[in-house]
Amino acid sequence: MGFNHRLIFKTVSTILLFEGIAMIIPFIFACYYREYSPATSFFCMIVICVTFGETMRRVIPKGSRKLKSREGYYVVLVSWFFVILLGSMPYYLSDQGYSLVDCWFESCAGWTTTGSFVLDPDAMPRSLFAWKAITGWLGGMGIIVLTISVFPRLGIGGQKMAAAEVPGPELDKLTARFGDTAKICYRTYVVLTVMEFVLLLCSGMGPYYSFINTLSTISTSGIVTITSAQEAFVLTTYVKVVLSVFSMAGAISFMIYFYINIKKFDLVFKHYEVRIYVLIIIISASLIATSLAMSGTYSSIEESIGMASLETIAYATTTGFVATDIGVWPTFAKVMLIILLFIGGCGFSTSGGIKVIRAVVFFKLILRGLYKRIHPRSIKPIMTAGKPISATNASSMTVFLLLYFAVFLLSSILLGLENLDMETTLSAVLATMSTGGTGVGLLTNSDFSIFSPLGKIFLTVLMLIGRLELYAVIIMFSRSYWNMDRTSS
Amino acid sequence: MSYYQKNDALRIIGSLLLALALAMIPSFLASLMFHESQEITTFAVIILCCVVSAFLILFFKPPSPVLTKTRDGFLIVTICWLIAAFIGSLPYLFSGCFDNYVDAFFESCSGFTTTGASTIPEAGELPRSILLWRASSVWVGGAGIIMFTAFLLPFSQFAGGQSMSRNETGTRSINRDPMKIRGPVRYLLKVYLFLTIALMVVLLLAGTSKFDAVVHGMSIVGTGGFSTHKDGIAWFDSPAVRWAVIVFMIMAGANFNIYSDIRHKGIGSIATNTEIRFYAVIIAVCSLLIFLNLMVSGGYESTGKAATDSVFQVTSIVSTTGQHTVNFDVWPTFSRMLLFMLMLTGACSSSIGGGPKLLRILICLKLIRRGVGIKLHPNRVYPITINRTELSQETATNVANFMFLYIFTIFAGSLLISLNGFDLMTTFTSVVSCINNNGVGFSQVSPGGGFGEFSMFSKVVMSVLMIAGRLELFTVFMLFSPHYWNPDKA
Repeated sequence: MGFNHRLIFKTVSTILLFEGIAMIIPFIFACYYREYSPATSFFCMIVICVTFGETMRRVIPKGSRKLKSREGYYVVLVSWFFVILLGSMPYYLSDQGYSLVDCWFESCAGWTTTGSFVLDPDAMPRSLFAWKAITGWLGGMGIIVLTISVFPRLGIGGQKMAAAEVPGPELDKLTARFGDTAKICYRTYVVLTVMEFVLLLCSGMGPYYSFINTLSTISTSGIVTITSAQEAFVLTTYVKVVLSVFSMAGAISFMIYFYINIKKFDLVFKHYEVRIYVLIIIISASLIATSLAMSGTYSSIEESIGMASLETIAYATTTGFVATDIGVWPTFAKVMLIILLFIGGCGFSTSGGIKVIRAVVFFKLILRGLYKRIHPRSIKPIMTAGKPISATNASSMTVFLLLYFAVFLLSSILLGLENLDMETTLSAVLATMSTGGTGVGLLTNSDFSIFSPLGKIFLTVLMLIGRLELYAVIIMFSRSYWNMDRTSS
Repeated sequence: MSYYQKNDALRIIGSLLLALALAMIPSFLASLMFHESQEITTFAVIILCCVVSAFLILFFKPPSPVLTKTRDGFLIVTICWLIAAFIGSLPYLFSGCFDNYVDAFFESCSGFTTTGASTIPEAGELPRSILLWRASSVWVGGAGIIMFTAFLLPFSQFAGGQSMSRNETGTRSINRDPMKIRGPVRYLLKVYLFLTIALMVVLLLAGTSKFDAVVHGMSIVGTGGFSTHKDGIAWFDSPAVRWAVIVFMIMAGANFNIYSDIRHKGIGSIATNTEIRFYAVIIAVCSLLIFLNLMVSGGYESTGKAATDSVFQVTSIVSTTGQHTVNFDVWPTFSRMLLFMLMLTGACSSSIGGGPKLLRILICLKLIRRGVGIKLHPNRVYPITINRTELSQETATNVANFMFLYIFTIFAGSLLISLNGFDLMTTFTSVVSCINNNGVGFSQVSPGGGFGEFSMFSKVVMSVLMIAGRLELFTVFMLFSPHYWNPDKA
């Protein structure tokens, strides 16, 4: 009994069909800006993806068996691999002299909402840059979730696939069919996007940059380094506020929007994880602002507070847009940002990191550990939102956290072979694993072009690990995964 | 707080004072021998005070008939370490080598927690009796750790066929059954003493001076990084000294229960002990990787020196000794990252070394493997075994809890230390090296650097971190919990 190859193949081809359709938008951009070689490459890719996807979707008969959870992981990983590979093709075929590894990195950074870059974004054709923003937008909510929302019948194993794709410890079953949940998610996502786009247009930013900035903040990718695009638009306070608010909107739990959707407004303000998340951001922002004001990095108190809030949100939502040079900030602020990057956003959102809910459990486990050493025979469950977490869940989160730190350390050692300084090495791993895309050291501007091709490939793996929350990638290295019928490890 | 065994606590403190006085005698003799007049009076007065107060306590406070609870033991131990650090700081203060009290306390804390971090950049300028006292404090701290782990942390002490799960959480009172604990502790202390004397003899034979042999013998077997010279072991310029130090660092960082196992079950027990095997593999693999990295990157001309340095630094970091033969901060990043990882693992449980201990790392790795396995086969029953004994779920949870507290402490500590405004690696590694009782880090706290530049506040924080790390975190942090002071209300 091997993998359910037929169903997997069908799913993957359907997803590629969607990727092909998504490429139509940058194709229009390319035509509009008269960028002929990107236009040709987009056109070729559209034709390939759509014909292949549509043919395969129709030709392959519907599989009967259901997906197992390990197959769910497999589908997600394979889909993401092909999506990223085909997504890198427009960069590669557009005749700009980009190397394949660089294109792969760009595509991966886009899809995983990391938003770091190795190719100079200012020199890149506008249509390609738009494509990167679009991939970020699709990757934020998840391409598989999108596919399921359109083809609910694919969702035989939909819940399992989505569980492997959507960030967060557990997926609440909001509706009876997962397809409906996916639909509600994407509807909300689109509404938020349109809102931000309109708001940014009002600032007089121009449609192109409004489009890019909207897609990149709502999906928490943070593709645009705001400083480098200064000449294209003015970074007014209004723009900063809009960008921050909407990256927050992308990083809080989508449960909130579901509540709004079913008009349970009282629940919106009672959501446990979101409340803690907001609290974390407020506390960190005020600490950082104090530290900036004390160190005198900025001349005025208002500027310190503004910059502190902006960058706190940029890091805490793992968006990672850069509005100022973090390198000159005091160490205290940097350590705070690193901690925020570790924590990341809420579960069931577009952000990365270990997620607030896991961080809460992390902290509560410590408290329980203290309590249990004082009262060794006591029984004390971990409570979140007034409800106990089951032992299975607690232990699964424990494993996740341990694994996260283990992967972080081991990857840092491997990346040490690049022989960059330690600060850069560690923050590169953190920036990619948390899909924030911005680090400290040499990486304060999300420019990863200092790494060798091999290092870049390794970093893309880390991005995938971070985006798909470890397991989908890690279990590939487990022996029992490959001989599934034997349960012995 | 209904009934603390105050008499028992005081008697323990009395014995501690006596032990400290005893430990100061060699330094006192050294000050006589080297004619350091100021130190003679300092040591004499402190020894006298300690002895008198110790006898007063032991004479007037009879032992109480009720057993001391484990929970009270945690408070007593923390107080003991604080008192030791306080008394140990007095000679530094009165000898005038330190500008202010915080520096002296930091130095003393670093000694008694076997850290070996120093605020003094040039060790050679200190009076010799003070150098000897630094090493003695490390040695006393090491002996204290042996007793602490045996009496209060039965976690690591499961070699004698006891199941670890019962011991990790079960004990309600300090075991004072002489047949069960005192015998093994006495044996472990004997091993400790034997190792120290053996290292001194070996160093003497390798050609160091008598004074250097004594200081390094105590400092290294106690896994402290103090030396009599600024360049540390590199000053001796003799491969024999280096390899002797390497061997003894490995032995000090190994699980001490292995020595009684060897006595009872033969040399083969090394191969069957999971943790020792893990320890050996880590040392071998990391040394080899660093050696290759050093050779490929081309910083070294002689193969022998590269090999010695890589093995030396790996063992020094993994056993949390913190001695150095070379400034490894100039090594290639891969080697530095490996050393950084070793800083985060620490030595074996039940050893003199600090850190989260390899046993816990091993359990965490097995937990991860189980977690991934369960993701694949959700209904699978997957026990975790250490030394072919099954680990209870509760122990596993406790171990994970410890790791979380450890990670949390690193970040919280880094936030406090970052107020200095030093670069990130200095900030993080100084915290890690304090919690792990390592004594060296990277960047500014790399070998040759020191902790002198940090602010007073940071030094106090670091002293707390050193003691917390030495006493396995929970011991100290539970004192901050309101539940601890309210023990009768569960």
